Amino acid sequence: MTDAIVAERLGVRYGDVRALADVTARIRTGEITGLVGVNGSGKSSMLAAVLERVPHEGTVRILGRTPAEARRAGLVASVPQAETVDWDFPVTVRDVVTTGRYGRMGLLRIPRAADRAAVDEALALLGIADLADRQIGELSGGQRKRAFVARAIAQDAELLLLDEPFAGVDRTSEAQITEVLRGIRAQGRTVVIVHHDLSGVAELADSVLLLRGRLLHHGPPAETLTPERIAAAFGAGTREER
Amino acid sequence: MDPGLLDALLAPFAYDFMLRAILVTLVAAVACALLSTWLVQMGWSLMGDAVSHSVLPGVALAYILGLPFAVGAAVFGIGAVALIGGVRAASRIKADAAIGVVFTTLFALGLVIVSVTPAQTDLQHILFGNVLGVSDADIAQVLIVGAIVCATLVVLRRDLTLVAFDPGHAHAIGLRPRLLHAVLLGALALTVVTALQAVGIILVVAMLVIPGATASLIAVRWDALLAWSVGITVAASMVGLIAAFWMDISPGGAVVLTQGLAFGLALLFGPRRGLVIRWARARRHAVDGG
Repeated sequence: MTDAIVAERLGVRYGDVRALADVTARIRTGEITGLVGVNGSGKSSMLAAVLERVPHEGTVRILGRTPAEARRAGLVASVPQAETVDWDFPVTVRDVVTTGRYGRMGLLRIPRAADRAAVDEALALLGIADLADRQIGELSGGQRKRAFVARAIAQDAELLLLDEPFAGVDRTSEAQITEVLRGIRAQGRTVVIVHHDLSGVAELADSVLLLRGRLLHHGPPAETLTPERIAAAFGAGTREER
Repeated sequence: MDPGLLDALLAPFAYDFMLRAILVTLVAAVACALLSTWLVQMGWSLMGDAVSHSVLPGVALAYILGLPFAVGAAVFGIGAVALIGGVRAASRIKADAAIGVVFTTLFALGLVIVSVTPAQTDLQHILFGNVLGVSDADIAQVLIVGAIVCATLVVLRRDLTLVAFDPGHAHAIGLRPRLLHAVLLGALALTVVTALQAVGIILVVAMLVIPGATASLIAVRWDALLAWSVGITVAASMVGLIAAFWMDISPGGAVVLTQGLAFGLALLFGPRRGLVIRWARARRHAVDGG
């Protein structure tokens, strides 16, 4: 089967600051892959480079296509970090989820019956149907994350990229998002997730990329998250991020 | 309604120059109000200030060369945006400083150009508007440019809103955030052309910021935000122009002053974040808690 992401010598720099260097990796289709490392280890930069949101070195293929082709075909869904979202923005939860369907709509982005049904289904799947008409900022941290995951579900993408979906999230939301991600994997789709909790990622992911400005190791969680490798990734004696 | 009051309200409409003033002001105000919603939500208010001042040399040169104002304004408006980006990239000074340097320098260039042109009286009109003396050509220009801007913004409104809210998602689903930003900035440059006829360069920024800021105190959905922004600005324009007619005051000044008052009312009584609502909530909370 075609790999979900093939990265060759991927690198990102912001001005003089190098965020990521020389990552060569194949992320398999139908798996959940975790990106693990300290703050500033290049996890978010890796996601940005895969989507070609930032200038990068090296090449990326998504499901055998160039990133631009994959984006236009609606194959990739992206769930942003909470800190990058303006929660005061005048949109409702339903508005946000509906934007997942924009790639399928005409120029005016008027939802058809199928789009509305997909949005309702995604809202129900994440348990936020009753919150659909709230302004997005009126939700709790976990509910906000669920809204963005619902958008990815409504998009019906083949590859989901999630940046810290469990940061600042309550237990109910975490369980619900986890269940949804496993459901996506069961459909043969691919999930790549930036994760801050080592035990959580060991439980959820099929494989882990351990990053520290470059790729330290890529393999199954048990093989990757050994005490030595964790020490190398997080610095002497520090196991948790921050 | 008291027939005397109704007569007083309708009296300005009996004069051709007032009808023309109302037409130009309304078209400009609606274009500004639509654009305003995105500028305010994206934190681009200062960009509105910058572009509106930067068009002065373009307008002056267009005047000298006998071209439509819109051409000169568009060239210098878009040029200013490019220059701001260039200055930032070349010097790494902060965005607000780069904007401040570029637009004041271009504005100064405009003042110098105007000072060496024979018909200097027009400077007053460009800076403070001349809505009571607009020519047929000015009206045609405002209508055409205003229609283009409004149609573009209305057609692309969902994409523009998505790019303002979550450019990462917009990019991931194949939209082009940079292109949409360019559309907004191009619309900004053109809108300035319409608005400077109505209120002049100095007050254009008010038309570009106040309606969107006022609507954001009221609406929680984007289409409602657009509707409030346009509604407030139309009401404020009519009130301002009628007041200007009866009180013999600056029409541009009266329109913007009315918009400012509308903002003040929304700040006090707005249903979303109004001070009165928040005070009432805090009080109820205190009572419940105690």
